[in-house]
Amino acid sequence: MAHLTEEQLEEALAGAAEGAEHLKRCPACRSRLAAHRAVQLRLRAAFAHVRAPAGLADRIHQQLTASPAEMRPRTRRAPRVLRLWPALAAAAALLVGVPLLLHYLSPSSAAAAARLVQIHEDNVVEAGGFHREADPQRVAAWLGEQTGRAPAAPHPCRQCGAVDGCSVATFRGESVGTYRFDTPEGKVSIVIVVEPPEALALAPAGKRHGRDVWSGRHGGCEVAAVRIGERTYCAVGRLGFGELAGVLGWAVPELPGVPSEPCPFCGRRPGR
Amino acid sequence: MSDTERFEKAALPHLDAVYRAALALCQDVARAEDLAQQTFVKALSRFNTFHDGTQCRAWLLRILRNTWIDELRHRKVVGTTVPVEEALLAADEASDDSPENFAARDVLEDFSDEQVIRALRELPDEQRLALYLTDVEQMNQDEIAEITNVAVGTVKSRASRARAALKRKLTEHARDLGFLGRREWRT
Repeated sequence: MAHLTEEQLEEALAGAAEGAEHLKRCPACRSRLAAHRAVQLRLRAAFAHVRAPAGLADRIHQQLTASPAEMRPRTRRAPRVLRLWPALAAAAALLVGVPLLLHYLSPSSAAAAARLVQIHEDNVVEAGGFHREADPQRVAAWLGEQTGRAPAAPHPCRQCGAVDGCSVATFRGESVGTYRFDTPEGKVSIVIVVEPPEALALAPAGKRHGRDVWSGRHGGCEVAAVRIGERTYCAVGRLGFGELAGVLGWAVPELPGVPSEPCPFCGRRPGR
Repeated sequence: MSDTERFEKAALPHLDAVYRAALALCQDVARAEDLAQQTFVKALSRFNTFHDGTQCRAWLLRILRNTWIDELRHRKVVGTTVPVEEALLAADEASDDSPENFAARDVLEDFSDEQVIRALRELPDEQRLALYLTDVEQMNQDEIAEITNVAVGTVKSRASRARAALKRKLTEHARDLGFLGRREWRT
């Protein structure tokens, strides 16, 4: 029995009667149709609340009523996120042109925590400027040059790729370094911010590695954090708090786990 | 009433639809706003081709699509990916009914709207537009064929393949995000 073609499936999805007899007899095509319908409804729902941003209608009106010489669209394009590591310098624009990202900013700690989770999810799906080839040390050095506050980069283990990529994200108007770890339990992002843990909706969770640690849970992700100097190192992922704290302990250079301990993922000592 | 006023009265009520489509096509909010703005500026310059009875939304979306294609051409992107990706998507159809993909349906609700829209943006350009117009704008296939300047059969094929590809991408992301269990340790 031949199955429905793509076109016939599309017609059935649109409610056409053709194909109905086949669908009655063919569970495989019924399943295909149901799967397509589920995606269709989810996609429709995703856009259901999307509206043109406030101000866009006014800008268009101004453009339409401008003199012909002024008809060139006035862009308010924010800089694109980084595409390639060699283009990392482009991220400098993030420091001066972030109005696009202002909607991420919020005075509330909950919003800050939500942004941490969003950065992690961007890293997981390799969106938002994530780069596999980026070198954590160079990202940290670049951030130091741009912001005057050089965070220590998480320690990479190149043997096993425990750090398998980086990005420069915007967090509360600041460029911050984020580093993705590929662990046996799932992906973890370390995001280094200047805000104290209290401003990230995190609560004290005892001591690890000789330091106070904080924890929190937001948007299905766990967060473990440690404050070192003027920065908070946040490990974010869908792992348990203990696992995240373990990643922090190994990866953050100021903590005692590095460099004396071998990589917990491949067993080799760093730098070998 | 001036032409501009008549245009604004006819076209601006469709701003949300134009912006949504731009958001589906572009990789970021700022670019989507630019594309929407350019669409209205171009549409005004062509308002003399607009006649009463014309579906204004479809007319605007056709201008938006052409503006977007022009931009892609300007960036020397257009034409480099669609044939290859269409072939890949056709191959993906073979695994469409795997149990894992069915499991993905259960996790569709775990994704945020933003994540779904981002996954849509990963699809090949013309397929993304066909799927968006079919599923979100719920336009009929004849209208979409006119907007996208292809045959109706091509619209159906593109929309179907794009939807299958979107499902596959969401399945992959669900696995990465832990919605479908932990990934196996890399060997």
